[in-house]
Amino acid sequence: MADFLLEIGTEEIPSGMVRGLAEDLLDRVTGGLKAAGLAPSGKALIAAPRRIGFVLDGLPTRQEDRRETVVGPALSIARDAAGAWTKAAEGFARKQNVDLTACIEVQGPKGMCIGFERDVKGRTLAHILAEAVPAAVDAIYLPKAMKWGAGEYLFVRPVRWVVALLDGEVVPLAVKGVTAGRASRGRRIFGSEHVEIPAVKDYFPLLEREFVVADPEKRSRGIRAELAEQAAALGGRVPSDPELVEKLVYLCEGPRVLTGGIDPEFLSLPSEILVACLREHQSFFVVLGGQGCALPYFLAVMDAPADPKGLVRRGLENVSRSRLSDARFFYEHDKAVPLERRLEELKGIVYHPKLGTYFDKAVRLEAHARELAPYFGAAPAKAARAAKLCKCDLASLLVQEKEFTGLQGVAGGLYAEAQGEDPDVAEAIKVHYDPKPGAGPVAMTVSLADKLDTLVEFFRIGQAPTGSKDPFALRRAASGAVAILSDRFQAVRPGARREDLADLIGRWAGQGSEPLIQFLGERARHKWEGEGFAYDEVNAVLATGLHDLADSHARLQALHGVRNEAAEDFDHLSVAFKRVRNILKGLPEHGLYPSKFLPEGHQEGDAERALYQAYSAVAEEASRALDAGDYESALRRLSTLRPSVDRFFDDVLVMCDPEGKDPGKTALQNNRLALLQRVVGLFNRVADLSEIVPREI
Amino acid sequence: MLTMQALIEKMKHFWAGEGCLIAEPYDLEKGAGTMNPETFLRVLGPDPYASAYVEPCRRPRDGRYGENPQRVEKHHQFQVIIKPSPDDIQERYLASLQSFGITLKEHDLKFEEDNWEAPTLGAWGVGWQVMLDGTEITQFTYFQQAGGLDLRPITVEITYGIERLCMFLNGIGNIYEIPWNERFTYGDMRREAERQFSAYDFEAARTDLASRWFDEYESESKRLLDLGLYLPAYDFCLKASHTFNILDARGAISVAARADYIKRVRRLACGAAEAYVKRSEPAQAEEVSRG
Repeated sequence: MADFLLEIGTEEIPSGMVRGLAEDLLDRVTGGLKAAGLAPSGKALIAAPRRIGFVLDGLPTRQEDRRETVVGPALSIARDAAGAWTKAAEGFARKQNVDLTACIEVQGPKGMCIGFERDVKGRTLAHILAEAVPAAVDAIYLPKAMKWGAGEYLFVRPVRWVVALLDGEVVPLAVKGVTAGRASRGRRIFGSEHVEIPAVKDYFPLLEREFVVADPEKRSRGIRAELAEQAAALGGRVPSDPELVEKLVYLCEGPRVLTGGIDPEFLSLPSEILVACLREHQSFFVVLGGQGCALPYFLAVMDAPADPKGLVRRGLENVSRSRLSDARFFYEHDKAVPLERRLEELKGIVYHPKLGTYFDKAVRLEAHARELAPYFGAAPAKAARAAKLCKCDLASLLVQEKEFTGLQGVAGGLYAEAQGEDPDVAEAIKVHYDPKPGAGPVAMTVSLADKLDTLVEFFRIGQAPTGSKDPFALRRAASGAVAILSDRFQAVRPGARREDLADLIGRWAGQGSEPLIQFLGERARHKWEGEGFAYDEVNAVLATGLHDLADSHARLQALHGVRNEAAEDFDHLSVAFKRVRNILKGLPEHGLYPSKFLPEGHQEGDAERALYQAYSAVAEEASRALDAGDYESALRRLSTLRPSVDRFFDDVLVMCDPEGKDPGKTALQNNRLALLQRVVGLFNRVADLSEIVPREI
Repeated sequence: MLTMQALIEKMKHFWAGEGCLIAEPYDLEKGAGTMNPETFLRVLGPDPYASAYVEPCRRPRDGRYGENPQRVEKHHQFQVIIKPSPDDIQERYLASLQSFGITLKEHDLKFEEDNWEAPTLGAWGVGWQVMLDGTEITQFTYFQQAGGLDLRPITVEITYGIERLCMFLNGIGNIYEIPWNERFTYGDMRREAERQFSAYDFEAARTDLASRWFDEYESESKRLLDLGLYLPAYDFCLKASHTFNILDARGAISVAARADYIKRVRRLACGAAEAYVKRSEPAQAEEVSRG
């Protein structure tokens, strides 16, 4: 057994790519090794700005020797009528460099063939690595590639050194023209530019001595711990910001957290702007005190072991001061311009060449919001006002600055507040891009109007996403709409209008509504599966149509819950309902009328009677529960039908008169079909169980 | 205190020591040192090259009438280009910072991804912005394409923002307080020009004239390209480019028209680049040792 270390040393890789490249490399090399029958017992990732690679533990040092069978042409070609080897057989043996006398009859994929057996020596791990590593590096997916120097090689950044060791031995291989050795490099500026690695096990500790923490998880833990510690020392906390931490983890090889001061004169800025300014410009964390107010401190991550003279801190504070004074200038200037006056400026900002300007969008949104408001129990006038103004901040100085584009909505909300708009209106503007649960009805209305408008309009001009192409982020818009419709529609006041989503979209989108409704269904599926619902449960609910996502979600929860209580019942019901579906599929849609139902007592045989009775016993109660939206109780009651359904299918021939020749039997057949349809109809008010994939049987 | 002129001397001294030819600024308005033919044309073709020079850069939209402590209409870049890029170019760059008097162990230095693209030049590259204690002091780029042509070998371009670096070295936040030499400040030298050129770019420039000039520069550049005079043709491309920037600052270019203007300038730049590469006689390739 041996341990293998690979470190590819590069110039600084973009922070967003380091981890993906390192993982891709690891996967490809271990994949190659496994294909050669060499699996490691453990692995550790190396992923830092100037190095990607890994350590693999417990690798077999060579492949097993093995015996293999070489298969040649079929016997029909290889032997003549007399049973002697033919010219073809001779040719095969010559080509394979074996004596014809060594050839035997072997089993080929399509019958007996000429062939022979031979011993194959296992190759050494070092040999296999020398091929597998360069091949893996060449196969890595590079989001953006470059050339350097003579321009012979293509990689994410120039490769400057390679360390490849099997225990203590250098593996002879080369990556992008760089021959592997045992010399790594330490942290730029602070560590040595020549670090000899005697053996694999020395790698991580030796690099740490040179100020490089090669394990990204360890850097991440370090940053998080220092952030928490220093924030606590200041009497505050830093809100979780995994995205920023991740960026800094891959921007530093030996990160340390440093506390800096924010000039108190800037604390009067709204904290959203303060935080965004320092985050986007400088990757700083702002320390928040009680009630979420900013304290006059930021935490920064530097890629240096210390700040001995306080120069780093002073530099960062200087930069932050000039950034914040810019932000304050924009904010004060914008605050003085009434949002409504910005509407005119929206006429100059193109939304999409085929969809006009943001002014056009604002006009549409105003109408949509007025129409949607009653669904949420929102005041139509407030919803319309917020919708009309919600895009106005796009014309503000602040949002037009590249670093503050992320404050779209938030900025408008702050200006609306400062300008004395109704608080509901200001809130709606502020959160309409991404309302959190608990947002008010006006906010939900405006957000949904915005997202549905985006979807309807882009679908109308044929810009629905295809494959990985989604330039207008329509999936995100649809997911946002689904989230509102599925989770947050429950904020609807009792008595507020609830209408079919499909109808509404049909009205807005006209003829193109069908693909859009399907698209929303797909996003609903994505969301629900992400929440842990099984795909077949989601299918079962979506199969009943997409009308009211909140209701669909409630039904899904009921199905999921009751199915887990009685998995076997659902498996059986699903099998039975697939049969029902197949039977009913062949019948005219409206071929069954309740009038064809025979009165009680006309059922033939015990099984049929039993199902009828069982159905009659639960139908009323289940219907009541369904009407009340208590899907769990309804399903629980309905699932007691399972033994009767099973028995029915065991004993009863439903299609007893498929040709319709015997009027008496026809009536009986119709009666059975109608009974099944009623049973299925009740279940279908929750989900189409024929979509359930049995787990046990 | 390190004056701006002393800093420039140190920059020239350092890169001359690395084997760079010390060139002078090109005598036409331009938005970036990259547009100097010393970079734009020299990065093309196979001949090794290394040079360094100061380049004054004009960006009409950045003018602030001399009132903003950070933004100016005209600033100075120190440009270094080396072809092919040396293996230890980052180490040499860090050594240059040390030579300016920065003790790197007392600071936080990061190479953050920042890819560069100049649509008007048909050029792009891959690289970083170098952040020193949170201030961007350098743009570091491996050129991949220029004039629409794939490059091989690859040139590395190091662009220092001279004012930024000087402010950093002196710990000051206002560009106009930079000591140009012991007697004069940056404000003494530049503020009035900033005021007047901002007024010209944003208010006084005649857009009808400028747009006519653009057309004329463009057609003159094309005519000269047809005559095989790609160097003068490239001059007129630069003039067209700067005129476009003025029209842009005046708000005279709509979003739709913008892309078209950029395409027109790019066509001229690409034409000059192709002619340079095809030139019958190889340029008197100064044999420059790469240090």
